[in-house]
Amino acid sequence: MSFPSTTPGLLGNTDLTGFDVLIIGSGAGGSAAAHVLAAAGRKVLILEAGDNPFPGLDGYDNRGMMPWPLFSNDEIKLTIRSFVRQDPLVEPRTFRQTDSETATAHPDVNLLTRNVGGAAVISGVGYPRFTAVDFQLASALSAAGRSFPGTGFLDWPLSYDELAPFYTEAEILSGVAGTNQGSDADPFSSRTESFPLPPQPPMYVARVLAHGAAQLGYKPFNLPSAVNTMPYDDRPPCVSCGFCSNYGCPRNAKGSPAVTTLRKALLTGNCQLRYNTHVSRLLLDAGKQHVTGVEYFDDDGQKQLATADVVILAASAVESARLCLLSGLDNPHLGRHMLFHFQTIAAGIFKQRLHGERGRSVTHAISDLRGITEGGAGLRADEPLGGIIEFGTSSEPITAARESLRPESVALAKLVGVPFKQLLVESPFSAHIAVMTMQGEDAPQPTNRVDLDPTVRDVFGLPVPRLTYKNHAFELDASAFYKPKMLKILEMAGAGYGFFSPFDPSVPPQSRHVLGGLRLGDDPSESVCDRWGKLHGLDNLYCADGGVFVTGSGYNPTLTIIALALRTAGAIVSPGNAERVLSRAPIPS
Amino acid sequence: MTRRQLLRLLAAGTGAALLPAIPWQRTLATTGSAASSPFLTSAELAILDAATAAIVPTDGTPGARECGVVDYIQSLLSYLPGSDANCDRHVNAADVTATILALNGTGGACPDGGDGDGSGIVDATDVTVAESAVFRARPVFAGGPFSGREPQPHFDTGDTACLVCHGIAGGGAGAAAAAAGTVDNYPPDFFREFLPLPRLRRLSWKIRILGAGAVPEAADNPLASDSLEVDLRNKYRLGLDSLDSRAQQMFGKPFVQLSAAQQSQVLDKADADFVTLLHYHTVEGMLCAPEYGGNRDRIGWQLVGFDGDSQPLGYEIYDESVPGHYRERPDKPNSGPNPDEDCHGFSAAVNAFLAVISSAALVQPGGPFSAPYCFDVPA
Repeated sequence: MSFPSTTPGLLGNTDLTGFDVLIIGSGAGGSAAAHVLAAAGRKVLILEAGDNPFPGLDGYDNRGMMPWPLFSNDEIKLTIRSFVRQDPLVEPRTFRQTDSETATAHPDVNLLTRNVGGAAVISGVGYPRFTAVDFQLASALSAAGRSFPGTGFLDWPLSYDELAPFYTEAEILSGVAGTNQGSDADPFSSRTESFPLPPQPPMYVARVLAHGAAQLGYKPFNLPSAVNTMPYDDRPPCVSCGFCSNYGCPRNAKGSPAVTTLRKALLTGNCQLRYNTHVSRLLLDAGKQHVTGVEYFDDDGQKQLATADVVILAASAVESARLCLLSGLDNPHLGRHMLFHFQTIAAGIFKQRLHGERGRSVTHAISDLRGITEGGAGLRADEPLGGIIEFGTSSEPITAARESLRPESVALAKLVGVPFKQLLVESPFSAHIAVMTMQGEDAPQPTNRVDLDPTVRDVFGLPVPRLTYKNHAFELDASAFYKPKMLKILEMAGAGYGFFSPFDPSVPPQSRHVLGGLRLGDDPSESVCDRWGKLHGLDNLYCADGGVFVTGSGYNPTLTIIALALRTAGAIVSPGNAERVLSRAPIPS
Repeated sequence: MTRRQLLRLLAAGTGAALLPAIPWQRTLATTGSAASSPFLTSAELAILDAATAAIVPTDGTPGARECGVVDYIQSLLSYLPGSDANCDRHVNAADVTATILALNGTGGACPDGGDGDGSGIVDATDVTVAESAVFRARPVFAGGPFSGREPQPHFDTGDTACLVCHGIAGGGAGAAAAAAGTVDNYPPDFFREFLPLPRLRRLSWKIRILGAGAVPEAADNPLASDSLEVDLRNKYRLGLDSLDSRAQQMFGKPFVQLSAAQQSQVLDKADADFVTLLHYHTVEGMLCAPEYGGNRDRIGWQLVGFDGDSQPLGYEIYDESVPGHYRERPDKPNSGPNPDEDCHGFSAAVNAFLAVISSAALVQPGGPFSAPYCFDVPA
């Protein structure tokens, strides 16, 4: 056994040659699956398309701890120059609203990051669970007599109760901070047990917005988040440095996939990770019923092969669907029913400085505008399905200036007589802004899909993903219903000005919540994967990323991706008894 | 990212027609050689200096000039993958030596090492690139996790004056301070390191600096040629030249000899894409981490009241001895305003701007609220 690796491009045990399982992607789903499989003694190979910002993740530094990552409080690096975001100059995507249009290349078709640990590494790691009614939403809507022509709602082939033990395991592995007690608990959540870590200390901007919401009778709660609030799992506590969402954590206080499940997998000695490797094709047998391995490009651009007994797709919903299509798989539902959340974004400009440059990403939220009953088991009769509303903001002065002080706005400023420099110095859009984001549920539609673009290619010469996506009245009407309520929260919080992000359907979704396309279902005629995440019609190909989602719910999806991936890996290790792989570790009180 | 998205959409919705776009005449030939040392000539630098100073002038307070925006842009344009010829994550004189030693080869110990212009072979041009880079290049991606501008509090007590601060690999200064018995809990400046770029990022940065023509693999990607922030060397060379010719045309003088008001008028009539680039890079050069060449002495951060990178100190000090385990910094609390902050709001001009932005005509259905107040701020 040879690790930590000293070989460039490799993490984990460099001696491994034969592999039981090959996982494409080291994000939330892939890392969770790798953890379960490696702990059970399976030999695991992970191929990751991105670079490694976690040098030494498979070992210890001179403190005897996990080495520091390369992330930093650096806006140029992370935001302006996209240190880890998929780069559209070399890997573009195309977008159109309907089949009748020609798709065009767009620099941001909901691009996620490419890096060891995946996109959750730079997310705000808000890790709430979905609620009980989410898993049977088609039935609940039908029982309520609500129908939405053109949508393809389907119940999940598993219940909240079936997933609950895996949720608990995912929360322990990630170190989720939160509370199930008192006024800081979410009354609409279906979960009842305590959290592994105490709740996050509030940041000023969240206190201001929560104050506005509470005056309207809403119930702001401490958002369950995988951010350490005390030393946990060999990782230090968060210090609220302010560079959270969009930024990897410089001190490993975020319980992202890299520093939790992936690191555990690498330290077993049963796992090898090759980064900067781009899988181009699944190797299928003639009947397309069995996968023998994959073909990929290494960092020199050379083609390589890798084989394994089982292959798990975990490249993110868009890329996993694309890979199936590049490989000639032809399930009619493949790539369809894409889900992104319909974000309604309200911003308030306040007279005082709100210090979004401090604090975690989001410390507080409300579920009151989700349209469900307390406890999360049913729908409210007279309200549409919205989503969780996150109270937070980060302060990125360059980004704010670049986006808000472009020529159009500079011209507008000239019109009212404000010099550019005065706007820069008074910083209304960075120092004085508070943002509320509603993660509205978007309806599954068969026409919303990913396929291969006929003309645009990436630097490997491969067809890029083409997204066809148009919002349904289901989410547009809900957004319109909840907008005045969101504005009222800003007013009660003391804002001087409030406005919404205008909706432009010609701009592709950029929510970073990328779901669907390989949805779960018991009936192969209306789904792509079975209830365990195995693709219908293939005996050894699984999906363990957001692609398997049947509906998007109105909550941040990462914890659910992890829980589902743990369950899928459990089913591979222990068919018929996936729960056998759970650690049952006690939750610290 | 949600705010960024909002602001982008907002900007897109706020009167794009107000500023007439002038079609870019691609009449000048592109420069044949990828390298010149340093990239922008002194004449070009003078125009750049005047133009960025016109965007953020020096009046009662510092502007683009004091922040060193010109240095930031020169650094950006001087970067080429391979400038770190000996692959030690720093660009310095040793890289010139390494480049000379690698002459006629295909590169050094790391990808593109020594092959500064990415031509596939190390030749005399690359020595020029290396010499330029010694003085000009800054990291594309600065290292991490810390810059050394803030201290590392003691892990258990929050004490910011600890002697051994959890073994941050301090090397020189830290170890020397520990040996001398002097307290040094500031980590070294990891930001000064050049992080190596994997192949795809190298290709992307060639497209950004040299244009899509330098990367045949990007032929079937329209974004590689149509994006604003690609082909930067060419765009700056053409853009600065056109500022000068427009100045001659409008006022009969070179750009640098015009008054501030005249320079602003030239910028108003200049190519809108180039002016946007100038705005972007001016703001970047004012507010970047100083390791990127701009924001000299953190003047830009001070101007807008931004602390910059706060790690490893942060704004919540973990302390086992207090309830909830966190102590706030009295000067800069995480959960409230600074003790000396007020509820004065904005100048009349900015208020007018915000009123237009939030009015229903531009974005529905927001607007100015009638009774703003400041929660938790003493009256």
